[in-house]
Amino acid sequence: MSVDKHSIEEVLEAIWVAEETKGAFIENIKIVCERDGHVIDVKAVLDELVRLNLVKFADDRFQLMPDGTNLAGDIMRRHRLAERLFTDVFQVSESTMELTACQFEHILTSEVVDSVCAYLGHPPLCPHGRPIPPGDCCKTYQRDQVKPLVIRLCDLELGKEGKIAFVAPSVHDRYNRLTALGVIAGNPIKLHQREPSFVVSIGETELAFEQAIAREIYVKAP
Amino acid sequence: MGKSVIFSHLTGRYVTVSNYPGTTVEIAYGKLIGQKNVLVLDTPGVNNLIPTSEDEVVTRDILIEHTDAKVIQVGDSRNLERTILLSIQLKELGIPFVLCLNMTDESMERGIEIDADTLSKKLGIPVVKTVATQRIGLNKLVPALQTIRDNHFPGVEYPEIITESADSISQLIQDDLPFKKSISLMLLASDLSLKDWVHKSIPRDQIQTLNELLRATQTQFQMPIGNVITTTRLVKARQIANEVLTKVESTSSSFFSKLGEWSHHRYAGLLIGGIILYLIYEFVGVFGAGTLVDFLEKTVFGSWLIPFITKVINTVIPFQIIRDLLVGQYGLLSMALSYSVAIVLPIVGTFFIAFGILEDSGYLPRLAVMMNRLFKMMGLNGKAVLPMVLGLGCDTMATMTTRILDSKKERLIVILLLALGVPCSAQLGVILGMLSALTPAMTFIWAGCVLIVLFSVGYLSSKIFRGESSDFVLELPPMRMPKISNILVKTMARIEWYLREAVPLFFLGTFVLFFFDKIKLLGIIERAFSPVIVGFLGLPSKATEAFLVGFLRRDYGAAGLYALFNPRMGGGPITVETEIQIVVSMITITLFMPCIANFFMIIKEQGLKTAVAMSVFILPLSMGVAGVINHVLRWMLL
Repeated sequence: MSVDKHSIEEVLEAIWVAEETKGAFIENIKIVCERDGHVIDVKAVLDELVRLNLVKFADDRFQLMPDGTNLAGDIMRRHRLAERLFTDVFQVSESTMELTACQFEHILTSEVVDSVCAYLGHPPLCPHGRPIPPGDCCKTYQRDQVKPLVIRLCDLELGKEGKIAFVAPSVHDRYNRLTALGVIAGNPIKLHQREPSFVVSIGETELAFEQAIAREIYVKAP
Repeated sequence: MGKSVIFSHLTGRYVTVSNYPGTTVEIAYGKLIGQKNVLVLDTPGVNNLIPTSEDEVVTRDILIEHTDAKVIQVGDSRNLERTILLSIQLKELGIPFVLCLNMTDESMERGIEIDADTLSKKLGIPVVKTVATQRIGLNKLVPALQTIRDNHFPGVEYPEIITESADSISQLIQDDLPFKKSISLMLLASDLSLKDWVHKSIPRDQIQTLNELLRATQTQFQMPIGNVITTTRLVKARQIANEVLTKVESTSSSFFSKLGEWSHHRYAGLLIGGIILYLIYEFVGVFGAGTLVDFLEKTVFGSWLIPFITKVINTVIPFQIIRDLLVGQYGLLSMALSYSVAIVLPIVGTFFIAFGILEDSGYLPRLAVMMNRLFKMMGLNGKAVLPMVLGLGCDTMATMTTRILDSKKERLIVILLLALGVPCSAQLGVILGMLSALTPAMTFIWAGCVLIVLFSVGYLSSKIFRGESSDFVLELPPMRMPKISNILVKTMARIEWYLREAVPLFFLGTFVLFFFDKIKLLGIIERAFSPVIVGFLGLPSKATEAFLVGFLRRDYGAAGLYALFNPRMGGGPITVETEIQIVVSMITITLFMPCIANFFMIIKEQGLKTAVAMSVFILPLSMGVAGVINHVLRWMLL
């Protein structure tokens, strides 16, 4: 029987959570999976994980192997960063947040995850107070005390060119307006002035806007 | 982007052309040269067919209403990605169109080369490269319209959920309507401006189904669907752009791009703004309102034309009343003609020239950058500087231009401020001309007072009026050397408009005065308003006449005041009393009622109720402010 990637990720996540709380006994793993509303044949997936050498079974409990730890850590990181994003930035309700975070963890690419992480200022804990496994971006951040990889346009140095990482508009209308003017992820953007209004050039277009907007454009620093 | 230039070329009709986005707010119509049965429409510019402001709605509506039309999309070749984003949407609509890649000279200068043939094949449409300002390539546009074939365009692949929902939506739309698929996508993008269309085109019992469909689809996405759709299109646009673009290192920045940078710099920008203001003052206030008016009024009209005409009329016409009507104290020739031609025309002319230079150089959007903060305090944003400065040209024209603003609230505030205290060029010229004869402090009192009133009213109305203020996002066109031909054409068109619009009102106003004078009503009115005019404002009772015609046009009112005070300003020093009277009357007339034409434009834009409410608010305010200033100045100086 083949086990799909989605189930594998869910069960790895459940093992991680169970380890953090009551220990990764099979019952606990099942409880975590059910609580998250997943209908998964946990036993079969666990067998598969053992076969893939991601997990080992000893003393009645499951234990993550190094590869499994990496994988599960990534998933947890995505999940908990998503939780942070939804509570801190979008302020959605607990139940919606949980459900959406569960979907997010499967689709986010690592590049996006790092952007989210940098955006949130490399948070160490999720909204429930559990640790968020640090990514590469957090390590750079801590070790060198340098600027994060992704910074807000308003923090970009004058005269410097960065690449737009993402736009996080707080007002619905803004996204389409900015997009149509060329403020699009991937485009290089150069900051000319901050005062009295922000002036940037994107390709051949020169744009002026106010600070509120400059705060919502995130750029990969040069 | 050059639409208006191209429109003029195709139809031979002149429309306002300038160097800032959003000049075209009304649709212009014209007949195609050589083919009288072909109608050409000039629409406001759009970046996206999911509109974010009213002028974009106008264009979108034209596109979906004129189903048999062919379209010329005028795109900026410096921003190919954005141009293609719009082309994709037109292609999706299924409208036959030609892509006109304009400003190829500037894109070449910046080292951008576009392979038009490949682009044409990729999009399945004819592509024509042009430089509209130099008429290059424009002759190929109409022939290209005839070569449109229904070439296949693979289209954009949207996420499956979106495609499915769009299909379901298009089944709800009445069968015989065109553009169903495209409009379904617009509806998915929660385009509220389509509400009317929906009620017309979807049976009432189906609207509920539509709303549910929209809601259900949105729950599948974290981002608003509109953003998902735009992003998907963009990816495609970028892919196409990358395939047809070659970039060569461009040459270093010229003097003008430096000048552009300075003019929105926080400090240098203030300096440049100050210099420009000073130059305009010298040109319009000193040269136009001083030298030119002096020459025309005193020499041409005063000692030559009017005495000559008077002589002729007195010999030819035997009836005293007709003589009075033509060359008497309130004569159509002696008063109306000399006001409009000798006093107002030189000022308006010089102002239009100065304004044309500003417009064509690309300075105005940079001024918006400088002013954004200040305007934010009035619930507006920097974009509002465009209609406000245009208001210095003509408030009526500017009231119409407020459509480039994004929210209802902002439009209302700007229209109110224009009506209240932005003097139009004719009026401003007369005012500056008079103030230049006084001590400089008086000019500051006048300007300070008007600005404070404008700001306070703006600030309060931003608190009182309901609604949202919008973001300040503005594209800055390149600074360039103003083209003399552009300025001449524009100035001529505006002067022509002025003569047609204003001069008849001057004659009407004069006739009303003449009539009131003959039936002895003028004296009664002057006496009736004497407590306000003489008592409260401290002005000579003759000033009532000026305010009376001020109801017709504020500049005529100002010209009346000029004529009233002019005899006292020539020769020796001006008394303090006269200085106070002049400054008080200038404040009154600046803050006075909007002129008739502007009043009608306000009705057109905001409805009769708003127009009347504004007038009722403005009249007592103008008198009140001027009265207070009068008493303060008298207490301080006399």
